[in-house]
Amino acid sequence: MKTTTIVLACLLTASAARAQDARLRGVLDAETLAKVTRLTDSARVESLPVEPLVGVALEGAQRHASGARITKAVQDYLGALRGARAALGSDASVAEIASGAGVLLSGVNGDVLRQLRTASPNRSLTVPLVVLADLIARGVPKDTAARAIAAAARANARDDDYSALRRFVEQDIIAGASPAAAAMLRVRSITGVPPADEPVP
Amino acid sequence: MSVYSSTVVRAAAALFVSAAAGAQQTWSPFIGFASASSAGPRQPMPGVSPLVIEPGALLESGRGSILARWSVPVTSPAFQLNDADLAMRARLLSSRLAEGSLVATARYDHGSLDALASASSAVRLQIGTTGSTRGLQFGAGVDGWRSSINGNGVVVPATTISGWIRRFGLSFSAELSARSLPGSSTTTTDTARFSFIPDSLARRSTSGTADTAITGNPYVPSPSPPTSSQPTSQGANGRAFGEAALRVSGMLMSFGIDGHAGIGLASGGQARGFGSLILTKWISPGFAFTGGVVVQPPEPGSSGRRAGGLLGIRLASGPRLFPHFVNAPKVGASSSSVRFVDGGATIEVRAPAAGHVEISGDFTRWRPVTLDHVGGDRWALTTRLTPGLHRFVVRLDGGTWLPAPGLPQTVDAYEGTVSVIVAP
Repeated sequence: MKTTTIVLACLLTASAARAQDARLRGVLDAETLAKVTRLTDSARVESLPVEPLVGVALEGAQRHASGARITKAVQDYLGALRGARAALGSDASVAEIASGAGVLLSGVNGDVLRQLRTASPNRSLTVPLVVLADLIARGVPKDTAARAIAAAARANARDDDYSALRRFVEQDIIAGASPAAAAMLRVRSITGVPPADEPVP
Repeated sequence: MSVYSSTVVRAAAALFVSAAAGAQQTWSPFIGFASASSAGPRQPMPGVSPLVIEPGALLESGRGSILARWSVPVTSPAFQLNDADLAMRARLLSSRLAEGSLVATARYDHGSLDALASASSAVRLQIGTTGSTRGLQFGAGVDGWRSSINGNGVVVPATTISGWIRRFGLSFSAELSARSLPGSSTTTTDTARFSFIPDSLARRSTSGTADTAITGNPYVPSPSPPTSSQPTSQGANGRAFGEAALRVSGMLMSFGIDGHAGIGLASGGQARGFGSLILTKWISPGFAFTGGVVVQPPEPGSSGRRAGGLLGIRLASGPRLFPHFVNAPKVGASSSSVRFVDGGATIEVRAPAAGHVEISGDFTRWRPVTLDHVGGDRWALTTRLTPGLHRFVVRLDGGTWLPAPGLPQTVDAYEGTVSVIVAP
């Protein structure tokens, strides 16, 4: 039974690999395809998520980036995935690692991820990390956004709290508030602590 | 004021109300500095400086635009209105294969150069078709033109053929237009002081028999306008005007560019160049500085050439609008939004004049997917999104892939900008 399961798993893995190759084969030249495949294979061996790497390569092809540029982008993303797992711990889920990589690529220090893991050792950090990346995309300065999420983590905020934080900050920005002020004000309503008082890694 | 001017003013007021009610609009007060020079037999009025200040405002929305401008001499001893313009453009229809616009202008002219007052209006209906292939968009259109000069109904048949392509976020267009002269017109005492094209080019009796061909600059009125208290008859033989112009407009990073250059030709052999370059720098999503230089195209019946500068600000409600100046081809989306319902997401893009809108993102595996036209200027795609951060770009009519305005943006690994949405 165990042998059958392993064989099936191998077949499924090989099938998935072939599917990914097929997706990239149509859009990348042979040399780039070979390099990107080596990187995705490395990710697979290290049990890191492969799908984001394929997405980065497809995005590069859509943007008509050069093969060298695509390879470097995939390489950088793989580095971010490794950095995210190192910061979040070997037990981090695939979703956490992918979200953490996005945060790292937006310029946030890896110590912020470690701080969040320390504050929430037994909770998934996927939502906090996604909200952190979203706040930065909305124009909240990186330090302020990191302070806000760290403060929420220390206050044992739930996923719903993070989603509400994101939603309220969005509304405030649309209403004309500065992104930084909106983040600081809204996280205070969750934690009761001004995020400026939180240490920043 | 002629019936056409009244129509234009009423239409402009209706468009103003419509535009003001729109979700996205741009308000652009500006000050222009113009210098006029005489290019014909008529000389400037004594004591009046050829330098004028031209305050004005431009209101744009996805449905059209209104331009109001007036002109006063810098050194006039008393307030004197040189001329004033009211121009509006309304997009009547916009579909995948065709678009139609109504362009109406009203003009009052008490030129220091002409020493004559006039009021004129024109209504143009432009209908064109668009298509796209391999990222290029092209189009062509024709229009008709009906003018009224000082209450005289003068039909000026005009044909404009234009084509445009869009690449690199910029729209390049070329336009050829031809106007033939009216066969005859009758003027009365009150209106005879203004001499339009017929008087400057040729004369023909109302019976239709050719009289005297007038030589000289075809762009300028005759030096001796009629002063008789009796109705006068005047007309024109078959002289024609033609104009050829190239235009480029669009956005490059936070800069808006709108420039054009052209040449006007008359069958008498006269030619005049014209052009403009106006740059807009967006400082923030709702505020921009704008400025540029303008050499106005030749206007039949005007003896002067007008050149000057333009300074102003642009204020936009909501997200930044792409520049679509009064006569610029359509160029961009105005706003976007995302709604999440029952695990699905509806991404909506408002593109007032687009014929085809596509989206490409991680949830489409970065392949182009066409949005559904859901009515008016709204285009939408409903799809399932896994929880988390998603990135995408949109393009209109086969143009450049750009982030959707109104949504958060981030720089991607390829130094481009993409829209970001978070699925709960």
